[in-house]
Amino acid sequence: MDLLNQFIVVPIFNIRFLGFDISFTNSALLMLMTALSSSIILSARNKVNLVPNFIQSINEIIYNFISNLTRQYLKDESDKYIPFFMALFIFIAMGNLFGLLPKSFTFTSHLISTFSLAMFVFALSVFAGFKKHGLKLFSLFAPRGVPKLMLPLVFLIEFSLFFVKPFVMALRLCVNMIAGHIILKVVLHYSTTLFLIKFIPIFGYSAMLLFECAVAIFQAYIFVLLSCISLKDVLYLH
Amino acid sequence: MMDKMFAASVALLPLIGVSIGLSKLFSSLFSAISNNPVAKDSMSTLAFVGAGLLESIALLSFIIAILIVSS
Repeated sequence: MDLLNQFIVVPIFNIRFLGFDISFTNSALLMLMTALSSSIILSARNKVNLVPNFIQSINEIIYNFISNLTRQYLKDESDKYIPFFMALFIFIAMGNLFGLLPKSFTFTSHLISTFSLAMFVFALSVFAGFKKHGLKLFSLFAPRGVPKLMLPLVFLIEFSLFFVKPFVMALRLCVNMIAGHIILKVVLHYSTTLFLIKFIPIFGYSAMLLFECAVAIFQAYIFVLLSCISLKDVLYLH
Repeated sequence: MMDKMFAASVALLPLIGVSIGLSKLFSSLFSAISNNPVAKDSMSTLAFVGAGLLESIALLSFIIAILIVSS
């Protein structure tokens, strides 16, 4: 039983450019599929009907969900950021769900892809903070009303908290996906090794698969929630 | 092989903390709901977010144990 076999990146077309290996891999294929499917969902906003069809109603459900979430944290400035968070949510949720298909590949189970998403959110929050507050943004690290003696300690804590956030977001999503797939494979492995009661692990596997579908959407929600919180910290200084 | 198994079992120790945390979280959620049933929806979404955050610690230790065994 090789548990970590399913996370290997395999090139489909070999492309070499200036000595760099930029092959089109199965990870890139799944990312392309995810981007296309999310653009189908997002394109329902181009032609809005009074009576929504299937894709538009899915779009409206996701829009209500994300706009409630962002209004809760970003208050007045939420309207600018709703499209970004909606695209982020659909991309991560679709990527996780495509990974559950048989013979496919989960690109969110690799730390580099989730980390690049988290770094994008981090760069966005830094940029938005500088645009709104200018150099006053550095008061994020030194809250008002802290005694002079405690200031270095508080500064250290706040500073490390600010830079650790993207790592934590990326690690959480990636680890959840890896653990879910390993557990699914362990459960399914027993249906090939047990002799007479082979059919029993299949039921367990079906239940776990439904649970994983829920986790796939839930993790996308958590990612969007944490990025909302990191953006809120920057926009509304304490 | 024995050493690896022992190391993996030690790496799974954070499960104690996660189980204590989950039990405290949900017991306080149920007592809060019984005190104030009107606010059930807002409290339960918060509790499930907290449960998701806690679960990731357990999964992290699980991944580390798997990596120790399979290395």
